Amino acid sequence: MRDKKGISYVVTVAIVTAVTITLGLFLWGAVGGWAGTSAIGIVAETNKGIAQQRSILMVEFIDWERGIVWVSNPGKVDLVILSCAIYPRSSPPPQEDFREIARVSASMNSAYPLRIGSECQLITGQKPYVIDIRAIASTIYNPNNPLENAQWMIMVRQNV
Amino acid sequence: MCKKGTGRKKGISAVIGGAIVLALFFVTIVPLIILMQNSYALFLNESNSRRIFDTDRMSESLVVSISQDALTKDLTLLLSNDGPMNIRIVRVWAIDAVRQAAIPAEEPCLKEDLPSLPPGANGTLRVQACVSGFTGTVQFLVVTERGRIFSSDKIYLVEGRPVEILFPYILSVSIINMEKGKLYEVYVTPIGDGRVSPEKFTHKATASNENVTVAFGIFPGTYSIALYESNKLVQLPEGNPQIIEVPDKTAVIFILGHKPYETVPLEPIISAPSSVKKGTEVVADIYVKLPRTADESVVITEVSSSFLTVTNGAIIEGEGCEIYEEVSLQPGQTGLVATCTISTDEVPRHVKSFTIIVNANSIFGEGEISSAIYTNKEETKDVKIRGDGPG
Repeated sequence: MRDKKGISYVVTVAIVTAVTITLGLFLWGAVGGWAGTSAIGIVAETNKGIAQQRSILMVEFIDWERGIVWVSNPGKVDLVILSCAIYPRSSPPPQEDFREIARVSASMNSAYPLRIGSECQLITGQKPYVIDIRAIASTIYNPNNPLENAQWMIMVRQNV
Repeated sequence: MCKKGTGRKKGISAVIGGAIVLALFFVTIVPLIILMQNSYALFLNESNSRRIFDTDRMSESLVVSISQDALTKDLTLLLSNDGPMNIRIVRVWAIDAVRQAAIPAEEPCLKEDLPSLPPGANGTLRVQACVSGFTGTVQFLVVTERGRIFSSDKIYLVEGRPVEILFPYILSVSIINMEKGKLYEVYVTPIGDGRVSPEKFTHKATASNENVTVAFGIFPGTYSIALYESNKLVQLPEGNPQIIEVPDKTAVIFILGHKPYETVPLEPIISAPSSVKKGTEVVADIYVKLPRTADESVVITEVSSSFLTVTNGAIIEGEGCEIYEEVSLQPGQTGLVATCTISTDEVPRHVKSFTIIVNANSIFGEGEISSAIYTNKEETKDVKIRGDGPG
């Protein structure tokens, strides 16, 4: 009788301890997973915000005779130009098709040409015109889905 | 024994559970919070960095002016950093300002070996190679490392050299009889190769029938001269715009309205007492009123010495009246032109009154715009004489 009682006690303690450890490990796993996912999300969002802060694009000059828009990047991150349109200021902005048009390195050592017609859409009409360029940092650009981080794009709009 | 055993069992589970919760807190939640704070700090740092960059960028100030080398006459850009930031120039564009095209090729004119200017520093850039052989109006754009663009004035070049702006002819354009309050614009537009400066003249008429003449420096050639009245092309019998050949014709007159000025008679007003005692002196102030219907202002230029006559033995004392000339009258306005003192001592006893007469055509005025002569009409006033005077 005494031996049976002893066995029962040890078994009970072992079972309770095992259940506690199992539950603890389960909780650890769940919390760890959530924390890891959150950490990845936070880092990704921060990176996107920082990439946008580092993005600057400027239009230097439009060569109307040759049909070239010269742009440059005084920012800290390479940019991918996704759309470019020149349209009359009195008209609404045209519907734009977002695609990779050109890459502009983060260096003011050179200016990059965008050809009016093929790379930069021109809507003719009454002057004056407005140029509208959208670009995204290359660090957050997904070539398979150009609009994936569209909310982190920068837009340059100026009278020309 | 049994109770004691159960209590020990509970204690082991509580210790393990507590250890797990504490481990969870320190291993997952605390690092997560630290990561969030760190990410926020990184973003804030980047945001501050961008703000500082934008402020520095906006603080850049560079004066770009075009000059010529004193010896070689080559075109140079004078750069003056009058801002608080160091400015590094990365590119210079030469632009055909009329065609809006880069010259001499489809790329920046200068992009290597460009200067960096500390605050307050000046520098020069030789740009003759950019415009060599170019004829037309050129402008230079200087691009800085922070992404600012500073432009020069536009300059006209012939074969890559600035021309002395000396115009061989003067074109005069007159606008006659403008309407008060309207805006008049004259455009002189070359047709072909002509050059003119300025190409536009603007004037707002501040008075009716105002005239203005403006001179334009001009080169030989064919020109269109157009006159706009409050942004509308004026329809004129002689034609508008007028096409002229310089130097065959160097004067254009636009006559608007042809409204003749009509003079109106000036209206004298005699201010004197209606009755006086015999033997007393009468002071008469003579005013002139310009009728409200007059087309222009009038300046009183002359008052004849015999403009005033008194009857029945009354006499004008002294050497005549005190005359006030150069009185300017607006339409509807009255002005004092003379003050006379009249003596009644010599009036016979049986005479009970005398008359003051401002003779017609004895006061003269000149129209301020038309220079027409204005004269007065006659005016009289009877003054009664009471018999209980001192004489």
